Amino acid sequence: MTPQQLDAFIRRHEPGSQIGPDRVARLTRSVMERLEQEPDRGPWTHLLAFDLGALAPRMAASVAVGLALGIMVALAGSGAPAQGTAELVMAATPLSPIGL
Amino acid sequence: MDDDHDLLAKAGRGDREAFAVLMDRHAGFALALATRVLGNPDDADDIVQEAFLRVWRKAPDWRGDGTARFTTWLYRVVLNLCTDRRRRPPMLRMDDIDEPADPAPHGLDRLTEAAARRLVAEALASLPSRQREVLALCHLGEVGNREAAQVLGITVPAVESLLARARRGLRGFLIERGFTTSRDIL
Repeated sequence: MTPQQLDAFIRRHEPGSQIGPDRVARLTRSVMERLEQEPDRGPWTHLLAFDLGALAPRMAASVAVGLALGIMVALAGSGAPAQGTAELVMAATPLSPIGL
Repeated sequence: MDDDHDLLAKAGRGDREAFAVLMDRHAGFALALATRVLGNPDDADDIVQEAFLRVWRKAPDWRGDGTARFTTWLYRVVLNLCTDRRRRPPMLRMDDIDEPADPAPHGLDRLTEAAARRLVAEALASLPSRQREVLALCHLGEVGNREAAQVLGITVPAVESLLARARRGLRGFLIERGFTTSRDIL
């Protein structure tokens, strides 16, 4: 069998050659029906769909830890009363026995 | 006519009509690719549906910088899903059930046609997965060697080598089964 004959034989009988436009149209309709169940999206909604799982596992873990620490710091700081510059300087100046 | 990148950008903003056009354009080859790799049309339908749903979901994140082709991404998704599917136990295909002899005129011809299709499907299935993927992409000239290399993440010479080995493997498989140059099938 020459390579040309082999190619001709495969071309004629390979499974992909049996696909007709009806099958493609049916598949397209099925996908479009399934899209109806997908949430609508505006130009910005994909920002909310940030998928941690799509990242590499180690990177996802780092992002998760970073987020948790950030939230903890934000919560811890939010209850503290606002301080002026003078108060902050006094608080930072070490007291000495002479000063006392 | 919009190119793939424009259609994908519109799909990313929720335009279903643009997505339908994109799908019409590429579903045929995606189906052929999955069918060649899996050898089962029902599985191939499922895979291609899933691939296009993933395209829809990921479309907002698509960054078309002019260098990456949409089809490269699509074919890679299809082949990855095929790889996952092949790890599952296979279902019995309708084509695997022997057809009874048809006494009607041309019945023998139909049986011969079915046997030839089965033979080619078996020959494809006998190839190592990488060779089968390259053949499914490139054999009929739908995808160039360079894009196939990008889809598979290998070099162009590696694609050429896999393609040559796949063709030799197919020829060997067919010759082993006594298939030479029988004119009734060719």
